[in-house]
Parts: sequence; structure tokens; C-alpha cells
Amino acid sequence: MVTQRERTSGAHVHTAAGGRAVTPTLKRVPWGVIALLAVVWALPPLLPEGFGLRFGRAFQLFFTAALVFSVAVFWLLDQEHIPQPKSTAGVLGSIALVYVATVGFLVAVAVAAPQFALPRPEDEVATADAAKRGEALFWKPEAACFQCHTIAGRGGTRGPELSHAATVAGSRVPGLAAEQYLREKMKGGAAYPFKVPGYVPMMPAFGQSLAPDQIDDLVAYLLTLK
Amino acid sequence: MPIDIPIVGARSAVWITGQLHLFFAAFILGAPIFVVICEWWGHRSRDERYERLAHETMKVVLLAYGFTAISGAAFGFALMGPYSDVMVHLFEKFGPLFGLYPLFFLIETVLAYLYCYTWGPLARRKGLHILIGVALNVVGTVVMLLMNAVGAYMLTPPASPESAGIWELVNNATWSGLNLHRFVANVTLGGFMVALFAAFMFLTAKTHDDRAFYDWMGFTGNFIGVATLMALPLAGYVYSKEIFLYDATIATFMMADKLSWFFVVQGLLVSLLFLGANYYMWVSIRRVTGAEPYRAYQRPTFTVILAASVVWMVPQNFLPDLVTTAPAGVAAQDIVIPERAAFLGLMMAKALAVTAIILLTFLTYMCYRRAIARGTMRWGEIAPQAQYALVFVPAVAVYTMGFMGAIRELARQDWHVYNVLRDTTPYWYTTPLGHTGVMAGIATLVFFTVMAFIFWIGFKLGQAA
Repeated sequence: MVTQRERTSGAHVHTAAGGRAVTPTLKRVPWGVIALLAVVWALPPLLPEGFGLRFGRAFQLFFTAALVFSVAVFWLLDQEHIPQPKSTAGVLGSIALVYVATVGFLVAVAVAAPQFALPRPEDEVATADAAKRGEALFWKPEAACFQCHTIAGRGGTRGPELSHAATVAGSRVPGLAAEQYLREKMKGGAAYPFKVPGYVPMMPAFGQSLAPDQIDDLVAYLLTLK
Repeated sequence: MPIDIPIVGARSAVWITGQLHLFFAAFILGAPIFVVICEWWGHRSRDERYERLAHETMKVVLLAYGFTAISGAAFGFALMGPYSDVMVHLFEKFGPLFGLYPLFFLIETVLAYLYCYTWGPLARRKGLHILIGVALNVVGTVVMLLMNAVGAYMLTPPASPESAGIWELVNNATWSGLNLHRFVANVTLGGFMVALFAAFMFLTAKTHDDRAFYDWMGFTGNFIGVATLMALPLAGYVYSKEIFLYDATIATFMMADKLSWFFVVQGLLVSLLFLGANYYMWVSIRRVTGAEPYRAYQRPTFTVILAASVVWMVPQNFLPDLVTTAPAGVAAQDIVIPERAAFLGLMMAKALAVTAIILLTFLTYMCYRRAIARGTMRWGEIAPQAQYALVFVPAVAVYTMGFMGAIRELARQDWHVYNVLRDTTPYWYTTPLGHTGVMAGIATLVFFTVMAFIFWIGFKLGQAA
């Protein structure tokens, strides 16, 4: 039994029951793909800088890869009946090939994605300067302050920016100096009575996990950020 | 570190052996659930295919028990020397649990052998046989719950572990979330692995009857896998929510800092699972006489799934963590999502994308059901590429399990037990994405190689005998 289906574009695909291989015709021009590629590559540079929709090169490559992958998926969908190996060894080999290629692709994606650097021994700071020790601690996973706070454009945004911590901290609680405020806030975390407006109170109480001298070092560092 | 393992290093040895143990454990825990349901359904519907499917799969599960024990022993040995302080800590805290674990594992093994070898003798007492199967699954689930307690404790220990009782240690903040996620994932893996076996058997079958049976078996395995896969993102959200509520800084580390790109890759992995499962269904629907009208929905369905997958994967930036700055010569705005498109990087957009993918998969299945109801299924006449899709999906599923398991472990950062026992070994640091991907890939390939052997012994040689 052979059925025939006509697509809106005019191309024909023949479906053969019972395992007969039929190749689909490739007469269509993929206008949709070409249009999307044009949008990805040609449109962003034409948009005004302040429009807020200029995708950078990395994103252009990302969307292009997604498009190529999508085309491959649709091409596979158009295949009616691909041939298969006749022998058991051939089948086993083809299955192993699909498996290895799949895992290989996934590993390649993981390797190609952005990688953070491994910690280096020289990153360990042995200094008499409390502020320097505090700065090192700020960026280490041990305290991990950077996960929620930004300093000079680096770090997370869940907590308030600390680029000018020394200046701002003194005005948080009336009558409390910057040093006192920073120390108490760091120790108490979200439990400290004063909450910074606009942020969800989620700061851990570092008084329980950091040593007093580590908190001293962090306070010393933050007080240098005028 | 008291002792290191030469050549590969202690961390890699623990990683690979532990991961293999979890893969085998997931299979021997998930597949019997699938098997008992099939046996019960076959008994109820008088459809002998379910009986055959259940029995053949159980033979393979039984073979996998040995490898589960071997990989478990290797995992234990790898932990003993290099990580003796961790083991001492865990034994101190969970002493009774480590006594119950081997006992329940022994009962589980006895029940598994009993279930498999009484298939013939209890053929006339099906109710009793199914009851043994149910008991096997109950005990298997208890074994999983016991070890999940230890794993969950390492990430989310109670506030004062020194004074906490055993139940408080067991019932920690993420125990229930991990249990739910693993239980559903195990059944998903069981379904997809059965489909993988069916694909191989179909492709090597010599008779039409065999092709028809294994075509049906692959369809059933994929159906169980997809049905439970649709619940997995929700179970994942529940688990993540528990982590977030326990300590928001872990959530930040996962979603915004060092593990943020791991979740971009996770989006790719889960999208591939859904794409593969949908591809199988849309190719296999062609063997239903009278299903031609439904093929008009094929392209729109895939267009939406692919678009949703892209939304799921769009990163907020191309920086690997919060402290890395743009490389020299690259402007920050080139690697950060533009302001007007920033919503694509938020959880709301990702959640909508996942919902769309799940919904479309459900609609695909509804199309399939309607096509079968209105037309005639020609079992055994499925195109070979559909069978290769059943090979592709388990490969992605196993890799995803390894990869997501690594995320859960890495979330502890430089702690063996979060905020309780610090990792002071040379391997204390978080591994970058590439390293993690390679390790997950190695574990996946080793697992597949061993499973191919088990499968060859269980199905091919078993059939010849």
C-alpha cells in the first residue's frame, strides 16, 4: 500500500508501508530558515544602540546553532524509512554508534560552554593586611559574599551592591557607624532588625559560620570601599 | 587526605564508581515497578504480550543485581581510604541506617530471585506472584529511601546535627524532595531501558511475529518513560524549592554562580529527551493505517517544542560564574542578554517553556491514541529510525542522570557535609562544566557497555537456550 501526502508547499512525500525506502524530494527553499538567519545576523546591527535588543556575537552563534539543529530535526522527520544493517553485528555497531555519538555530542557541548577557572595555590593570601585578607575572603566560596553582592561590576545581584559600602553603611541605621552596622549585619544576617529596602531578607547569619577574625577582615575590606 | 588513589585520583574513582552504582540501582529499582504493572495489566487484560514483556525484562533486572552489588562494593572501597573522615562522620550519625541497609538489600535480593524464578510455578496463582512483585518494589523503595537520607543530609543537614536525633537527620530539609525526584526518575529510566532492549531485539528480529512483539514492547517502554518524564520537571521544582528554602545561598550558587551554565546544559538535555520521545511517536504513528490526517500536526508540534527548548536554554550571559569578567577584546554587552530580551533568561520564561513542551508531548500522545482508535496499528512495520530514537533517548536519559547527580553533589561546594564537615582534600573545589561533562560521559558509556553485556546474556543467550 502506498499513500501520498501533498504538502502546502507543493513538494511530495511518498510513504511506503512494509519497509520500502523512499527518499523525499528537496525542492523547497527553506525561506523560513533564511528569514530567521537574517533576523539573527542582519537585524541587530541595524537597531539603535539604546533600543535594548542588540544581541552580541555569542548570542548570534547560539541562535544559529539552534536553527541548524532545528533544520536537522525537521530533515530527520522528513525521512520515511532509513536503511538498517542486516547482520546482528551491524545492528549492534549502529546502536553503539548512535549511543557514542549522542554522548560525544553532549560532552562536546559541556566542553564548549563557558568554563570557570580552577582555584590556584597563589590565590591563598598570606598577608598582615586585614583589608586584603577580607577582600580574598569576599571572593572565596568559604564566605561567598560575591554570590549575592556586587563590587565594581562583579558578583551577584540578590543583595545590595557594595561598591560604596563604607559610604552607604553609615547611613543605614541612625546613630550606628558604618563599622558597627557592617559587623552586626554580617553576624545577624536576615535576622538583624534593619532590612535593606527592595531586597528579600535572605542573608545567612555569618556569625555562626565565620570566625570573629574573619568577620573583622571582611569589615576592614568593606570599609575601604568609599 | 590520608591516602589517594593513584593515576585517576580519589575523587574520580569515587565519582565513577558511585555514579555506576546509582545507574544500576536506578535500573533495578525502576524496572521492577514497570514489570509488576505490566504483569498485572497482562493478567487483567488477558494480553499475553505484557506477561512476556514483564518476564523477559525481569530476567535482565536479575542480572543487573550482581553489577549493582559490584559497583556498590567498589564505591565503598574507593570511599574507605581517601574519605575515611567522611565515612566515620556518616557512620556516627547514621549507624542504625547502615545496619538496616544491607538487611533490606538482602531481603530485596531474595524477593527478586523469588519473583523471577516462581514465574512458572506460580502461573496459576497469579495474585500471589504479583504480591511478591509488589513486596519486592516496596522493599526496594525502602532501600532507596534509606540511602537518600544520607545523600540528602550531606547537602541539607539539620541546623544542629550534633544534638539531632536519627529521625531528624533522616527527615532533613530535602529528603522528601529527593525521594520524589528519584522515584519518578527511576521509573522513567526503567521504561526507556526496556525500550532500548526492544529496539535492539526489533532490529535483529528474524520473524514478523518477533518484530511485532518488540515493536509493541518499545512502544510500551517509551510510553511509560514519557508518561513519568512529564512529571519530572515538577518533581525537580519541588526539590529545588526545598534547597532554596533551606539555604538561599546554595540556590544562588546553583542558578546564578558556578552552576548556572550547568542548568543551561540541563535545559538542552531535557529538551533532547522530549524531542527524542516525540520524534519516536511521530515516526511510529505512520504505521497506523488511517493516521495520515494527524501528520498535519507534526510540524507545528515540533516548531513549538524547538522554540520552547531555545527559550529554556537562552542564558543570561556567557560568563561561567559571578566573578569572571569578559575576556580581553570582548565588550560586556556582547555576552550579556540585551535588556529587552532579558525576560528570556528569567525563571518565569523557562517555566512557561517547559510547560509548553510537556503540553505538546501530551497532545502528541492524544493524537496517537485517537489515530489508534480510528485506524489499524500495523505492529512490526515501524521505520528503523524510530528504533534508533529509542536508543538515543536512554543515552540522553542516563547522561542526564549522571550530570544532574553531579550538580547535586557540587552544590555542597567545598563541604563534604554542608556547613558541618569541610572538604580539606586536594579535590575540594567545584569542577568546571567541561570536566563534569567528561565524567558524566565516561560513566554513561561504561554503564552502556555493561548493560549491553547483561542484555546480550539475558535476552539473546536466554532466548537461544
